[in-house]
Amino acid sequence: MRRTVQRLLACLSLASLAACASPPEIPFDHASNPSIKSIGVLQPAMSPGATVWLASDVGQSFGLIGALVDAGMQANRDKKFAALLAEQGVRPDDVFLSDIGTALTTHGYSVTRIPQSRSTMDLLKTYPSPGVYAADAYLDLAVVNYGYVAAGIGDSTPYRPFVAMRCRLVRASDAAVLMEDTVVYNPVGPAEKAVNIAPDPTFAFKDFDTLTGDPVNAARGLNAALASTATAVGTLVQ
Amino acid sequence: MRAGRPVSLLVAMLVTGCATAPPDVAPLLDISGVGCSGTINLSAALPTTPTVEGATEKPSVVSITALSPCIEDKVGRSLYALFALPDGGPYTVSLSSVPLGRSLFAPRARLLDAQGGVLHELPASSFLFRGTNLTALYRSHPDERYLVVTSDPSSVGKPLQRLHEAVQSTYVSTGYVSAVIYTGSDIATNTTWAHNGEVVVGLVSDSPKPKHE
Repeated sequence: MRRTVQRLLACLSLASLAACASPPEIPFDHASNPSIKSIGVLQPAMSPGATVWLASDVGQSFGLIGALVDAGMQANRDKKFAALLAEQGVRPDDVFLSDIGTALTTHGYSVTRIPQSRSTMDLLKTYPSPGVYAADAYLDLAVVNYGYVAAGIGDSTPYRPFVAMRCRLVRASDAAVLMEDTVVYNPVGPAEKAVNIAPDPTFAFKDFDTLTGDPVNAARGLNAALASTATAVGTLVQ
Repeated sequence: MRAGRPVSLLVAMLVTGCATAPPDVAPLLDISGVGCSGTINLSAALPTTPTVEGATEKPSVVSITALSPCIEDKVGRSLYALFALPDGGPYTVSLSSVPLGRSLFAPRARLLDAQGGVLHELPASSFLFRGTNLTALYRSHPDERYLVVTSDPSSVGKPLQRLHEAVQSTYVSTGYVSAVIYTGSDIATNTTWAHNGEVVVGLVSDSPKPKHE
């Protein structure tokens, strides 16, 4: 039951990220920060498991009981999808971290990975002291949720990959915030101030059975969403 | 719900978002008949008003139409809007192109000095969709006095398709029983990059940045 409630809360957090006001966006001013050449990517906050979320269904109309039933069904979907990813040898956290490295390198930064323990699925409150790591800035990433989402039941609302994440770049010497933003790949409803990435139409599965019946493309679709999200992060620090 | 009773289903609310739908404007693809100049007319600059973070923003909104000023340079003919940036700062500047149904203004943005010289151009990749608007965020610098937003002839006429997912809630009542029914939608919007459209510029004054120690 605890896991079911956690998953329900995870979906609610995604919905709130997409629908509600987010913290102010801080654009990176490269011209004023020419000394930032190396970025230490802190181990992101990211759930090891993907979410397969049905954003609207009949159960939602029946209050908490319906929501708990929905969450139970979703937990079942999540479990099957986790098995699918394991079969495909896909670890989303590794994929995303690699994509982030590629995106930063593309924009001319040297990149180092920095281990970081996390207690919440959110950005950090404190950062490593100056001089601890050889980096001009730290990139803090919190992948709030990711996986597949269908807006509703029926063939016209297929499952498509989604990612919701927050990111922050801080100067290593004094922890000043140089950039902060939210990126959502395939939001359900426009996320007003966040960067909205429309989903790749290639990866659409009319129902959950179709999704799990095509494991290669299901994994490929999620990887593509993570890559697009990482590319957007690269753009934000260009 | 009881059988035999007159059932009146009351659809009281259909929530698809807070904003009203923008008008559908046909994309302007050909401006060969518009009179163009070789230079930006600095005297036509529109004022911008900075606000502080958290306060109600006072954005400058401009509709760019066939009657807007036009410049012809090495990239071709473009319609444009010019914004004067106030003293002070630095500011976080938000520059948005607002979709108008079938058309979306294809933006190209440059920062000018007091004499109209180009200081730098915002990379095309810095325009990202935020909500439904195509938006570039950047930090201003003291020598930047004007922001000129021109249509990009190399993009005009190209199609853009984006998929949107949404959930609608509908309040339904029989008179005895009521419920909120949730339904989803997954639709593609098709727009065309255009010389015309709506451009919105907002400035937020710098506030002390949070520090994390």
